[in-house]
Amino acid sequence: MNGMRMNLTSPARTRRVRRMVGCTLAVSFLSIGVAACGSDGESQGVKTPPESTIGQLGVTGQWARATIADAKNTALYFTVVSAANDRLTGVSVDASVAARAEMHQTMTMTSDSGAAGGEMQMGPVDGIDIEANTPFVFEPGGYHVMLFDVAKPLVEGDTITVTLSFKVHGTMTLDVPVLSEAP
Amino acid sequence: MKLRTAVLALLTMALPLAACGSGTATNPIAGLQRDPAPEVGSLSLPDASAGGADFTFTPGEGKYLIVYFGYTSCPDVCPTTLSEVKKALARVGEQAKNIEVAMITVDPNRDSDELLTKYVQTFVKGGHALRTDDDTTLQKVAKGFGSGYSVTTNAKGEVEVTHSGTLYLVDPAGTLILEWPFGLKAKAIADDLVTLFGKA
Ligand SMILES: [Cu+2]
Repeated sequence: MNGMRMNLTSPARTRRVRRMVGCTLAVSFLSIGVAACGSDGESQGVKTPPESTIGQLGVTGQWARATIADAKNTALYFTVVSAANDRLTGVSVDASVAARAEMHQTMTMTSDSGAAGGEMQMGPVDGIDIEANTPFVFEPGGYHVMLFDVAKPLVEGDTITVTLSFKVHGTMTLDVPVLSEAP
Repeated sequence: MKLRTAVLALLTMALPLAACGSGTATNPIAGLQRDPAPEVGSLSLPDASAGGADFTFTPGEGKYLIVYFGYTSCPDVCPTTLSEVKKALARVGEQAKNIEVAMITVDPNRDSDELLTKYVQTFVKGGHALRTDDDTTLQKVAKGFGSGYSVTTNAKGEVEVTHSGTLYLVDPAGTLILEWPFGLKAKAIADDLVTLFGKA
């Protein structure tokens, strides 16, 4: 592992490079699992959430994770497809759902310790560019919308309302079903 | 460098498993093996799910232990991983009674004994909730597993946590024999466990 570090001069750069490698691996892992297992037992009983569209922009596959035990934070996921370039600039929920909603990204850093998986960290992102006709996927271990300090527990079967703000398409209100596990 | 190459090679091998492998005994192990395999049997932490009793990483004859470092206000990575563990144990079936699961909080300031216990047991009945306020002890355990974490407060006053997304598998004697990186699906984990029990 040390050889990796010695080849690179700046520690900041090292970390960035490693982080990107880690991300790519994690993402391809996930997408392959999802793509290949359509008929697998794990996907049975999936309810297809209603699709929302405004103009030429659509959001599909939205779901929010039920809160666990008495934990106050949770996350929600969806896929955006737009016919034109756009930018997701903000997400919000009513205070009756959670104190705050934020777009987040989970990143993986390749480990220095010799362990297999690097450390993971999540942090807010200002906005997300949506490229025309290219689905942008929010998914576990990647981009997600964080809900901080839920007003009451989110339980499977609940539906919450989330507002998405796009630079070009304006705002969209989305009904998001609460699930205890990824669909 | 050697390890990195090995890891990449193993990841590539693991992909068909993570997808829809046939689940035969000839499948390669999806988890990663470190050389030498770390010994974690001499480490211990208080088990909040057992009134703070000393928990050692030695599952004992015929048993295996899955260990995860996380925190309960982790809404994305931790539930994703623990859901896969839950599904993997369901797939393993009868032998699941010989597999214990322990979650170690890296964020003891915010995770109470009670919350951590409830959290891990939402996923796994009888799951162990390991928690210590003594950071030296926690660091020693993390180091033993080759796991890393940090808890810091940013300029806005928000707590930021980093932690390894890996699941660790400990054999009866306290040797860390496998690591499942974040993103591995339940089927791959279950197949590995079935293979191990088949060998035992
Ligand atoms: Cu987040």
